[in-house]
Amino acid sequence: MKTRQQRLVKAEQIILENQDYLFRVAYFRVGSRAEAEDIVQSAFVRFWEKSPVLDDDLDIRLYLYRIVFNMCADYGRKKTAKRCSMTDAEDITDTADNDRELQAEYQRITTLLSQLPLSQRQVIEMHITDGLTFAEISRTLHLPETTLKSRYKTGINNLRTKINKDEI
Amino acid sequence: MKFDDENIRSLLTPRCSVKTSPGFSQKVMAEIETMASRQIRIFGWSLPRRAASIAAISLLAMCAVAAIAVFNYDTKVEEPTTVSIPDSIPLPPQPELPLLPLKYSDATLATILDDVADRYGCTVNYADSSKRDIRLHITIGNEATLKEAIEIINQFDNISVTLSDNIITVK
Repeated sequence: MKTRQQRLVKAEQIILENQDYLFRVAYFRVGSRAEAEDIVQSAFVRFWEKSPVLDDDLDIRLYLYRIVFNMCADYGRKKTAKRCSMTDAEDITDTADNDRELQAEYQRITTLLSQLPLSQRQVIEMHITDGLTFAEISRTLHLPETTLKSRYKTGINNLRTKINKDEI
Repeated sequence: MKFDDENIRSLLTPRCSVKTSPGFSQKVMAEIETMASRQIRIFGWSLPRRAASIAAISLLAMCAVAAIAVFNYDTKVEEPTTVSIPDSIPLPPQPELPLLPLKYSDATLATILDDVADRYGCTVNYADSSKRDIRLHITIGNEATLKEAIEIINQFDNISVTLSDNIITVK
Protein backbone atom coordinates (compact mmCIF):
# COMPACT_ATOMS: atom_id res chain seq x y z
CA MET A 1 0.00 0.00 0.00
CA LYS A 2 1.32 3.42 -0.97
CA THR A 3 1.65 6.16 1.59
CA ARG A 4 -0.22 9.38 1.16
CA GLN A 5 2.93 11.18 0.09
CA GLN A 6 3.73 8.55 -2.51
CA ARG A 7 0.22 8.77 -3.88
CA LEU A 8 0.44 12.56 -4.12
CA VAL A 9 3.77 12.38 -5.95
CA LYS A 10 2.31 9.84 -8.36
CA ALA A 11 -0.80 11.98 -8.86
CA GLU A 12 1.29 15.02 -9.71
CA GLN A 13 3.27 13.03 -12.22
CA ILE A 14 0.05 11.77 -13.85
CA ILE A 15 -1.37 15.28 -13.99
CA LEU A 16 1.74 16.70 -15.63
CA GLU A 17 1.86 13.89 -18.16
CA ASN A 18 -1.80 14.02 -19.17
CA GLN A 19 -3.16 17.51 -18.54
CA ASP A 20 -2.47 18.95 -22.00
CA TYR A 21 -3.71 15.86 -23.81
CA LEU A 22 -6.92 15.75 -21.80
CA PHE A 23 -7.38 19.50 -22.16
CA ARG A 24 -7.17 19.14 -25.94
CA VAL A 25 -9.73 16.32 -25.86
CA ALA A 26 -12.11 18.37 -23.73
CA TYR A 27 -11.53 21.69 -25.53
CA PHE A 28 -12.40 20.32 -28.96
CA ARG A 29 -15.64 19.01 -27.54
CA VAL A 30 -16.84 21.91 -25.40
CA GLY A 31 -15.11 24.82 -27.15
CA SER A 32 -14.34 26.75 -24.00
CA ARG A 33 -11.07 26.94 -22.06
CA ALA A 34 -12.79 27.42 -18.72
CA GLU A 35 -15.20 24.53 -19.25
CA ALA A 36 -12.48 22.25 -20.60
CA GLU A 37 -10.19 22.97 -17.66
CA ASP A 38 -13.03 22.38 -15.22
CA ILE A 39 -13.73 19.02 -16.84
CA VAL A 40 -10.07 17.98 -16.78
CA GLN A 41 -9.69 19.06 -13.17
CA SER A 42 -12.79 17.09 -12.19
CA ALA A 43 -11.41 14.08 -14.06
CA PHE A 44 -8.16 14.21 -12.08
CA VAL A 45 -10.06 14.59 -8.80
CA ARG A 46 -12.27 11.63 -9.67
CA PHE A 47 -9.19 9.64 -10.57
CA TRP A 48 -7.62 10.51 -7.20
CA GLU A 49 -10.75 9.32 -5.40
CA LYS A 50 -10.73 6.02 -7.26
CA SER A 51 -6.99 5.47 -7.36
CA PRO A 52 -6.74 3.32 -4.18
CA VAL A 53 -8.96 0.67 -5.74
CA LEU A 54 -7.63 0.79 -9.31
CA ASP A 55 -5.45 -1.98 -10.73
CA ASP A 56 -1.74 -1.30 -11.00
CA ASP A 57 -1.68 -2.33 -14.66
CA LEU A 58 -4.49 0.11 -15.55
CA ASP A 59 -4.01 2.19 -18.70
CA ILE A 60 -4.22 5.52 -16.85
CA ARG A 61 -4.26 7.66 -19.98
CA LEU A 62 -7.24 5.77 -21.41
CA TYR A 63 -8.97 5.70 -18.04
CA LEU A 64 -8.67 9.47 -17.72
CA TYR A 65 -9.70 9.87 -21.37
CA ARG A 66 -12.90 7.95 -20.68
CA ILE A 67 -13.73 10.14 -17.70
CA VAL A 68 -13.21 13.28 -19.77
CA PHE A 69 -15.09 11.80 -22.74
CA ASN A 70 -18.11 11.00 -20.57
CA MET A 71 -18.03 14.35 -18.80
CA CYS A 72 -17.94 16.13 -22.16
CA ALA A 73 -20.92 14.05 -23.28
CA ASP A 74 -22.77 15.08 -20.11
CA TYR A 75 -21.81 18.69 -20.73
CA GLY A 76 -23.08 18.40 -24.30
CA ARG A 77 -26.36 17.00 -23.10
CA LYS A 78 -26.82 19.75 -20.53
CA LYS A 79 -25.90 22.57 -22.83
CA THR A 80 -27.08 22.75 -26.40
CA ALA A 81 -24.13 21.88 -28.59
CA LYS A 82 -21.97 24.91 -28.90
CA ARG A 83 -19.70 23.35 -31.45
CA CYS A 84 -22.13 22.58 -34.26
CA SER A 85 -22.08 25.78 -36.23
CA MET A 86 -20.16 28.95 -36.74
CA THR A 87 -23.08 30.98 -35.36
CA ASP A 88 -22.98 29.08 -32.10
CA ALA A 89 -19.23 29.28 -31.98
CA GLU A 90 -19.42 33.06 -32.09
CA ASP A 91 -21.15 33.00 -28.72
CA ILE A 92 -18.17 31.51 -27.00
CA THR A 93 -16.63 34.17 -24.83
CA ASP A 94 -13.04 32.96 -24.73
CA THR A 95 -11.52 36.07 -26.22
CA ALA A 96 -8.16 36.21 -24.54
CA ASP A 97 -5.41 37.03 -27.05
CA ASN A 98 -3.57 33.76 -26.57
CA ASP A 99 -6.78 31.83 -27.16
CA ARG A 100 -7.77 33.48 -30.41
CA GLU A 101 -5.70 31.10 -32.47
CA LEU A 102 -7.01 28.16 -30.52
CA GLN A 103 -10.56 29.40 -30.95
CA ALA A 104 -10.04 29.73 -34.68
CA GLU A 105 -8.72 26.18 -34.85
CA TYR A 106 -11.68 24.94 -32.85
CA GLN A 107 -14.07 26.65 -35.25
CA ARG A 108 -12.25 25.38 -38.33
CA ILE A 109 -12.15 21.76 -37.17
CA THR A 110 -15.68 21.65 -35.78
CA THR A 111 -17.03 23.21 -38.98
CA LEU A 112 -15.31 20.51 -41.01
CA LEU A 113 -16.52 17.70 -38.79
CA SER A 114 -20.05 19.07 -38.51
CA GLN A 115 -20.62 18.03 -42.12
CA LEU A 116 -20.53 14.37 -41.07
CA PRO A 117 -23.06 12.17 -39.28
CA LEU A 118 -22.35 11.83 -35.55
CA SER A 119 -21.26 8.17 -35.73
CA GLN A 120 -18.58 8.92 -38.36
CA ARG A 121 -17.56 12.21 -36.79
CA GLN A 122 -17.03 10.58 -33.40
CA VAL A 123 -14.65 7.92 -34.74
CA ILE A 124 -12.65 10.41 -36.82
CA GLU A 125 -12.40 12.77 -33.89
CA MET A 126 -11.25 10.05 -31.51
CA HIS A 127 -8.74 8.62 -33.97
CA ILE A 128 -7.26 11.78 -35.46
CA THR A 129 -7.81 14.55 -32.93
CA ASP A 130 -7.58 12.47 -29.77
CA GLY A 131 -4.93 10.08 -31.13
CA LEU A 132 -6.59 6.88 -29.97
CA THR A 133 -6.03 3.55 -31.71
CA PHE A 134 -9.06 1.67 -33.03
CA ALA A 135 -8.59 -0.88 -30.22
CA GLU A 136 -8.78 1.92 -27.65
CA ILE A 137 -11.84 3.45 -29.34
CA SER A 138 -13.43 0.00 -29.35
CA ARG A 139 -12.87 -0.35 -25.61
CA THR A 140 -14.29 3.13 -25.00
CA LEU A 141 -17.39 2.91 -27.18
CA HIS A 142 -17.95 -0.85 -26.77
CA LEU A 143 -18.16 -1.31 -30.52
CA PRO A 144 -16.27 -3.81 -32.72
CA GLU A 145 -13.11 -2.51 -34.36
CA THR A 146 -14.37 -3.49 -37.82
CA THR A 147 -17.44 -1.27 -37.37
CA LEU A 148 -15.27 1.62 -36.24
CA LYS A 149 -12.83 1.23 -39.15
CA SER A 150 -15.72 1.11 -41.59
CA ARG A 151 -17.25 4.26 -40.10
CA TYR A 152 -13.87 5.97 -40.17
CA LYS A 153 -13.26 5.10 -43.81
CA THR A 154 -16.75 6.19 -44.87
CA GLY A 155 -16.39 9.39 -42.87
CA ILE A 156 -13.03 10.25 -44.43
CA ASN A 157 -14.41 9.56 -47.92
CA ASN A 158 -17.45 11.73 -47.25
CA LEU A 159 -15.25 14.50 -45.91
CA ARG A 160 -12.91 14.31 -48.90
CA THR A 161 -15.82 14.42 -51.33
CA LYS A 162 -17.29 17.46 -49.58
CA ILE A 163 -13.96 19.29 -49.43
CA ASN A 164 -13.10 18.52 -53.07
CA LYS A 165 -16.60 19.64 -54.11
CA ASP A 166 -16.19 22.91 -52.21
CA GLU A 167 -12.77 23.41 -53.82
CA ILE A 168 -14.22 23.04 -57.34
CA MET B 1 -6.18 20.76 -55.13
CA LYS B 2 -7.40 17.20 -54.41
CA PHE B 3 -7.49 16.14 -50.78
CA ASP B 4 -6.15 12.73 -49.90
CA ASP B 5 -6.25 10.99 -46.54
CA GLU B 6 -3.09 12.67 -45.29
CA ASN B 7 -4.37 16.12 -46.20
CA ILE B 8 -7.60 15.42 -44.37
CA ARG B 9 -5.71 14.12 -41.37
CA SER B 10 -3.64 17.31 -41.25
CA LEU B 11 -6.77 19.41 -41.75
CA LEU B 12 -8.32 17.87 -38.66
CA THR B 13 -5.23 18.27 -36.50
CA PRO B 14 -4.97 21.53 -34.53
CA ARG B 15 -2.23 23.74 -35.93
CA CYS B 16 -1.56 25.56 -32.70
CA SER B 17 -0.50 24.33 -29.32
CA VAL B 18 -3.38 23.26 -27.13
CA LYS B 19 -2.27 23.59 -23.55
CA THR B 20 -3.81 24.18 -20.17
CA SER B 21 -3.45 27.58 -18.52
CA PRO B 22 -0.24 28.20 -16.55
CA GLY B 23 -0.58 26.97 -12.98
CA PHE B 24 -3.31 24.49 -13.90
CA SER B 25 -1.47 21.47 -12.45
CA GLN B 26 -0.80 23.34 -9.16
CA LYS B 27 -4.50 24.20 -8.94
CA VAL B 28 -5.48 20.55 -9.43
CA MET B 29 -2.84 19.38 -6.96
CA ALA B 30 -4.09 21.88 -4.38
CA GLU B 31 -7.59 20.48 -4.67
CA ILE B 32 -6.33 16.90 -4.45
CA GLU B 33 -4.20 17.72 -1.39
CA THR B 34 -7.22 19.31 0.28
CA MET B 35 -9.19 16.17 -0.39
CA ALA B 36 -6.34 13.99 0.84
CA SER B 37 -6.09 15.89 4.13
CA ARG B 38 -9.86 15.57 4.57
CA GLN B 39 -9.57 11.83 4.00
CA ILE B 40 -6.76 11.72 6.58
CA ARG B 41 -9.06 13.25 9.17
CA ILE B 42 -11.68 10.62 8.49
CA PHE B 43 -9.46 7.62 7.93
CA GLY B 44 -6.38 8.83 9.78
CA TRP B 45 -6.33 6.00 12.29
CA SER B 46 -3.73 3.31 11.83
CA LEU B 47 -4.86 -0.13 10.69
CA PRO B 48 -4.57 -1.85 14.13
CA ARG B 49 -6.41 1.04 15.74
CA ARG B 50 -9.19 0.78 13.14
CA ALA B 51 -9.37 -2.99 13.64
CA ALA B 52 -9.53 -2.56 17.42
CA SER B 53 -12.34 -0.03 17.16
CA ILE B 54 -14.35 -2.28 14.83
CA ALA B 55 -13.84 -5.22 17.21
CA ALA B 56 -14.95 -3.11 20.19
CA ILE B 57 -18.09 -1.93 18.40
CA SER B 58 -18.90 -5.51 17.35
CA LEU B 59 -18.42 -6.75 20.94
CA LEU B 60 -20.68 -4.02 22.29
CA ALA B 61 -23.34 -4.88 19.73
CA MET B 62 -23.17 -8.58 20.64
CA CYS B 63 -23.43 -7.77 24.36
CA ALA B 64 -26.46 -5.59 23.70
CA VAL B 65 -28.18 -8.33 21.69
CA ALA B 66 -27.40 -10.91 24.40
CA ALA B 67 -28.71 -8.60 27.15
CA ILE B 68 -31.94 -8.00 25.27
CA ALA B 69 -32.37 -11.75 24.74
CA VAL B 70 -31.81 -12.52 28.48
CA PHE B 71 -34.17 -9.75 29.57
CA ASN B 72 -36.89 -11.01 27.27
CA TYR B 73 -36.39 -14.59 28.52
CA ASP B 74 -36.74 -13.54 32.18
CA THR B 75 -39.66 -11.23 31.96
CA LYS B 76 -41.76 -12.58 29.20
CA VAL B 77 -43.22 -15.90 30.32
CA GLU B 78 -45.67 -16.96 27.79
CA GLU B 79 -48.92 -18.31 29.22
CA PRO B 80 -50.11 -21.52 27.65
CA THR B 81 -52.95 -20.85 25.39
CA THR B 82 -55.84 -23.26 25.28
CA VAL B 83 -58.08 -23.67 22.39
CA SER B 84 -61.42 -25.33 23.06
CA ILE B 85 -62.72 -27.40 20.24
CA PRO B 86 -66.47 -28.16 20.39
CA ASP B 87 -67.45 -31.83 20.19
CA SER B 88 -69.66 -31.26 17.27
CA ILE B 89 -70.18 -28.31 15.11
CA PRO B 90 -73.82 -27.83 14.18
CA LEU B 91 -74.24 -27.75 10.44
CA PRO B 92 -76.47 -25.12 8.97
CA PRO B 93 -79.90 -26.42 8.03
CA GLN B 94 -79.86 -27.86 4.54
CA PRO B 95 -82.77 -26.87 2.32
CA GLU B 96 -84.92 -29.82 1.38
CA LEU B 97 -84.68 -30.73 -2.24
CA PRO B 98 -88.02 -31.20 -4.00
CA LEU B 99 -88.77 -34.79 -5.05
CA LEU B 100 -88.51 -35.40 -8.74
CA PRO B 101 -91.01 -37.55 -10.59
CA LEU B 102 -89.83 -41.12 -11.28
CA LYS B 103 -89.59 -41.13 -15.02
CA TYR B 104 -88.49 -44.22 -16.98
CA SER B 105 -88.06 -45.00 -20.62
CA ASP B 106 -87.46 -48.64 -21.50
CA ALA B 107 -86.38 -49.47 -17.93
CA THR B 108 -86.77 -52.91 -16.31
CA LEU B 109 -89.45 -53.46 -13.70
CA ALA B 110 -86.74 -54.32 -11.18
CA THR B 111 -85.10 -50.89 -11.64
CA ILE B 112 -88.44 -49.12 -11.31
CA LEU B 113 -89.50 -51.00 -8.20
CA ASP B 114 -86.11 -50.58 -6.52
CA ASP B 115 -86.51 -46.79 -6.86
CA VAL B 116 -90.13 -46.96 -5.64
CA ALA B 117 -89.01 -49.04 -2.61
CA ASP B 118 -86.26 -46.48 -1.86
CA ARG B 119 -88.63 -43.55 -2.09
CA TYR B 120 -91.46 -44.99 -0.04
CA GLY B 121 -89.38 -47.12 2.36
CA CYS B 122 -90.73 -50.53 1.54
CA THR B 123 -89.33 -53.85 0.23
CA VAL B 124 -89.96 -55.71 -3.01
CA ASN B 125 -90.69 -59.40 -3.29
CA TYR B 126 -90.88 -61.24 -6.63
CA ALA B 127 -93.24 -64.25 -6.76
CA ASP B 128 -92.44 -64.53 -10.44
CA SER B 129 -88.85 -63.52 -10.99
CA SER B 130 -89.25 -63.57 -14.78
CA LYS B 131 -91.21 -60.30 -14.37
CA ARG B 132 -88.04 -58.47 -13.26
CA ASP B 133 -86.88 -57.99 -16.83
CA ILE B 134 -90.08 -56.59 -18.30
CA ARG B 135 -89.30 -53.24 -19.84
CA LEU B 136 -91.60 -50.29 -19.33
CA HIS B 137 -92.15 -46.63 -20.19
CA ILE B 138 -93.64 -45.10 -17.09
CA THR B 139 -93.84 -41.89 -15.08
CA ILE B 140 -94.75 -41.73 -11.39
CA GLY B 141 -95.46 -38.18 -10.33
CA ASN B 142 -93.55 -36.64 -7.45
CA GLU B 143 -96.70 -36.15 -5.42
CA ALA B 144 -98.04 -39.70 -5.93
CA THR B 145 -98.51 -41.86 -2.82
CA LEU B 146 -97.22 -45.44 -2.66
CA LYS B 147 -100.69 -46.70 -3.35
CA GLU B 148 -101.03 -44.49 -6.43
CA ALA B 149 -97.61 -45.65 -7.63
CA ILE B 150 -98.71 -49.30 -7.36
CA GLU B 151 -101.87 -48.46 -9.32
CA ILE B 152 -99.84 -46.86 -12.09
CA ILE B 153 -97.64 -49.95 -12.38
CA ASN B 154 -100.67 -52.25 -12.32
CA GLN B 155 -102.08 -50.55 -15.42
CA PHE B 156 -99.88 -52.87 -17.50
CA ASP B 157 -101.65 -56.10 -18.44
CA ASN B 158 -98.86 -58.54 -17.83
CA ILE B 159 -97.88 -57.13 -14.45
CA SER B 160 -99.65 -57.66 -11.14
CA VAL B 161 -98.27 -55.84 -8.14
CA THR B 162 -99.79 -55.90 -4.67
CA LEU B 163 -98.95 -54.00 -1.50
CA SER B 164 -99.23 -55.67 1.86
CA ASP B 165 -97.50 -54.71 5.14
CA ASN B 166 -95.19 -52.40 3.31
CA ILE B 167 -94.05 -55.23 1.02
CA ILE B 168 -94.56 -54.95 -2.71
CA THR B 169 -95.17 -58.36 -4.22
CA VAL B 170 -94.84 -58.95 -7.97
CA LYS B 171 -96.84 -61.83 -9.36
